[in-house]
Amino acid sequence: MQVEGWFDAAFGPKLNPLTQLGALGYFYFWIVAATGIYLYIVFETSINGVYDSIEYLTVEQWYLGGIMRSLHRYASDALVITMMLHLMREFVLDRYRSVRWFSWFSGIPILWLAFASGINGYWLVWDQLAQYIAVATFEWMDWLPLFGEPIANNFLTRGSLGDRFFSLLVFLHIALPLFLLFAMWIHLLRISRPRVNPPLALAAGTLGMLFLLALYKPALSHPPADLGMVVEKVSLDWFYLGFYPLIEIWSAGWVWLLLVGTSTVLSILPWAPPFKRSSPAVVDAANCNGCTRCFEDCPYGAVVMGPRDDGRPFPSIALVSSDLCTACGICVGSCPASTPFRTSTELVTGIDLPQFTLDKLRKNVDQALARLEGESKIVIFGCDHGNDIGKLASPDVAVFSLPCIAMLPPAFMDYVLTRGHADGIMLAGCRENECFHRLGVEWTELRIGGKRDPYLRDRVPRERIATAWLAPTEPGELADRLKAFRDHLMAMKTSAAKEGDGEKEHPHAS
Amino acid sequence: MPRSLMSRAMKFLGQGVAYLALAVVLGYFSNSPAYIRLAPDTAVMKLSISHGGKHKGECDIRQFAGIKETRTTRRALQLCPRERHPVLVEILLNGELIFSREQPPSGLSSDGPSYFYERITVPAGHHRLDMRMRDSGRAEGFDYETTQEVDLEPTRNLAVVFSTPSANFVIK
Repeated sequence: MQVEGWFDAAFGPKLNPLTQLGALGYFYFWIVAATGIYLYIVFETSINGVYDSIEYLTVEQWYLGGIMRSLHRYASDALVITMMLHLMREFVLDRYRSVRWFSWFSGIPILWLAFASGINGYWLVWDQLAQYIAVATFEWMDWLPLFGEPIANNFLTRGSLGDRFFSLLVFLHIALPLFLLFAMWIHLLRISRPRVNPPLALAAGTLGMLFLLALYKPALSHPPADLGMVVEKVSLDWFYLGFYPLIEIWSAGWVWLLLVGTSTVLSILPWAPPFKRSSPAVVDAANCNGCTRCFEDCPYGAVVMGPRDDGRPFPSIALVSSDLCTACGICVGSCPASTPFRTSTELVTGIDLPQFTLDKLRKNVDQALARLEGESKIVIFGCDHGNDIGKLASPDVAVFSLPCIAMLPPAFMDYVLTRGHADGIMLAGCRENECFHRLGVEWTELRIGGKRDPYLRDRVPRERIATAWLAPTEPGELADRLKAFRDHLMAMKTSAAKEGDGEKEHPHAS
Repeated sequence: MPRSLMSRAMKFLGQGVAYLALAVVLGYFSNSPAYIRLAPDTAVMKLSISHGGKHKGECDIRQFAGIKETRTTRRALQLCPRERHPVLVEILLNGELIFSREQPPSGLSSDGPSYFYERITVPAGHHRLDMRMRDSGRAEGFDYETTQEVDLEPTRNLAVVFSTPSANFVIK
């Protein structure tokens, strides 16, 4: 969180690379694909021609082929860094349990496919590194009881290999990345509006960095492979090949255990305790007119529109898939029926959370507002995944924590402010672009700004609404923002009072 | 310098540091540090053998009259038990035993070849290699033995295979 704060300070919330890891991963994949197509065009798939064709690209045609090759390598390496950071970040932020299991689980084959693609790519150069990797891989594979005769025999002596071997490698180097792309598509299936393209400035910055690195330190080959000699020393790409020395230092079996064991543990993590699962959102047919706003706003595609059979004059009704719903409440905030101005004794909206209903929120807010006292009464709506706002409660400050800040319908802000219950509202959610439920902060900003339905009405004074999108590690900053907001409200009050006095002293002044 | 300009400059500086850090990590770990696999003045012998041990029982040579009574698809002239003996291979370098392994036959019915694949690091230089194999299930002695002098320069990859047609070890 602290590290993300540093990146926020340097890049700003919208360009923070740590919040764009998935999109950056896609971007690096496309760089690798585009440069790979060029390399393939000039690549010669024969055992005698392959090394020379790559040397030609690297040395003779350094200005194009050499840069392409270097970009191909460095973008592949950057993809590994991105994947690992993405995995660690989702784990640390607890974004892999419950209905998010699918994205986590489907990410494991992506790791295997990405590594297989990269390792396979190193074979294609057929230099000493390729020789070492190819022999070590086949010896490693031979540990599995899958093959009769050891497949490492293919590399026993000079002349063991033929051109067909390289045709196979090239086929693999096209097929594996295609499978990888397919797995990356599956990875996003249960996420609505996934970010697959980084912001332009970040894309340009990272591409520029890779380009300069390609110029400064071009990717080079080792001496050509010679199966009659053993590779004594190799300059490994530790991002992809870091585990290869372990095959020789430990044994093939232990490395299999390490990799398969790690993958298995990662795969079952979403089902490991503590088990946290809230009841999914529930649709009230009598209050749902099929407006589709909840369908549009759900970050997980858990709401779909279906035909209705209750005789009401609307074509569709919202349906919640309990397997996909995280109970974030964003749908509650988007429902036009979620208005506390309704005079009914029990506030029933079109879609609601059973464990934390809008009616309960209104009752709690009403009770708290009645108790508020002081010069500047403030209501803070926070997020369960953001800062602990409980510490900010005081006689003039009431606090309410929601599953996600976007659960708060704009009508609720209107209700609190225009009824004169409070002088100001502070919305304290996750840091921008780092919303636990992905889209909560974005939707809230757009609703307040009148750019996304349901809009905050124009009559609501925006200067009485403060937002504090902060990480849970920034309680001090939140307290400072609250103090500043209180001072701002007091200044408004003082200014309004002066204006009032002025009018009394000069009743006819215009 | 105005404060906003200063803050902007600091932002760009921060971005530059972040990109530089990533470039340094990428540039260094994409081919460093080097991994040294082999000690100086050493070579590698790769033992690669695929050889089926002798069958455990004698083949039953069938009489022509007997064959006539069996179905046409099963008229083999001799019936052999499928199971084979394990194969024992030993390598001695200058008289010192450096490899010894008995490998069972492959296959569910233990009727396939015994496979050996082993990477053995040896010092470079002139050596006498004694290679021997037992595939008949005998308790003592060997069925095949080959001795050869080799000159191994450092990092040489020497393949030791067994040629079943010539019933001999071959060095490549």
